[in-house]
Amino acid sequence: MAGLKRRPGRFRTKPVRVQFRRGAVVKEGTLVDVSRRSALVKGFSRPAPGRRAPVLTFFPGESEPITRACRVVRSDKTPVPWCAFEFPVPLTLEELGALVLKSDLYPSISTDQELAEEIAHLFRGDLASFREVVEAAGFPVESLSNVSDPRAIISSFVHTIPSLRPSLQGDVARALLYAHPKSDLLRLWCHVLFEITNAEASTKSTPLSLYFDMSEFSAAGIADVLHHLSELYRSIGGDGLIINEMTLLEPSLVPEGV
Amino acid sequence: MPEGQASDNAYLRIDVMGKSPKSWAELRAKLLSSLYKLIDDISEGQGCSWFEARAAEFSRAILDYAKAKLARPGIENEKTLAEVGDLYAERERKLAETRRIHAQADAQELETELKRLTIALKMTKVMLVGDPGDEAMLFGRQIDGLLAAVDQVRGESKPQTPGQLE
Repeated sequence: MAGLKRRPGRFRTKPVRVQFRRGAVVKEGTLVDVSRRSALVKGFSRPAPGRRAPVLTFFPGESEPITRACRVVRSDKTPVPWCAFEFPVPLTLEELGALVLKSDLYPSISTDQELAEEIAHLFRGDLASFREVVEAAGFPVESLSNVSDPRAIISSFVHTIPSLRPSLQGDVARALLYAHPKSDLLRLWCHVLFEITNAEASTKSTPLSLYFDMSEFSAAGIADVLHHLSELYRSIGGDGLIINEMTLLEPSLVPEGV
Repeated sequence: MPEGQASDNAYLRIDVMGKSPKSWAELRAKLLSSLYKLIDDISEGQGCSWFEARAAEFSRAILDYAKAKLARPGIENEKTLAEVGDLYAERERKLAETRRIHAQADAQELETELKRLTIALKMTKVMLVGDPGDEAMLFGRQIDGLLAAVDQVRGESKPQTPGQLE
């Protein structure tokens, strides 16, 4: 929960299913242990009259160490109407994936094609360039045609990325958990794509810097080496090298030490 | 040293990348692994422990910092830089022309280019520094001189204690 602040006023009170993998018999008034995720629950209290508190969400598959006890007043598929918990829920990518695939919080965009088109629109580009971005980020584009729920697309996409910035991961969880408007989800999706493609670019697309000793190489000699390198690059499937930048360095410019 | 020419102990830094960023992202590592192998072959038996030790010490970030400090000011550089750029462009043009006439087998091409590079670099010192994905290559006999200068620049950037200032 470190670094994640509660954001008053942004809670949604939309009911969600309450399910338990362990302690399946949960009746009103039963004191139960809850997993680490539900340790986010700070306690239960009846909301002020006329005011609805956010509901507590449990999902199957939770197996973290039990860390806290709390009172669950009602269970089954009935919303728990008066629990308070810290926000947002810090999910790992795997948890997020499970959450997305199991929850029905977010009203589906009708088809993946529609999602893709929306995203392409947000990119101010066409569908082809969207697909190119997705592909460049290592996501199997063909899988887009096999899923009908955009949350599943996001979930599987996020799962392909080994290191997504934790705060962004939190944003994704928040958006999905609290059913932000469709446009929010789409913008977030774009954000994920940009993060990933930028990260890819910064680690893989750095120019290669070559330092030539001018006492050793003439201009023609340097051009030769560059040319050989370029040919080597072509021979492994590249399209030739281009010079990005040239700088002449003079180590003698370093002032004498005091 | 004639006006407009680099001095003998100057270094030319050239940043190169693939024409297509997408291909470059995919093939940069492959190109480097070929170069690593080449450098290993070249430096075999040359007693390169000093270089290995120095390579571990210098990251590309340090070289970038040194670049900012050592970049030679003035328009007289332009002649040198233009000359290299023109000669490289000319070789690439000729190659494109040759390519149109003779198609070559890829495997053979790779072998040939490695041989040519080996010959071109055999008499020099070659060193790769930097972290994976952020490498730089140093060519020449005076690499130690360059690194010493970089080291000095780096030392100047460190905050001095009152004792050092006296």
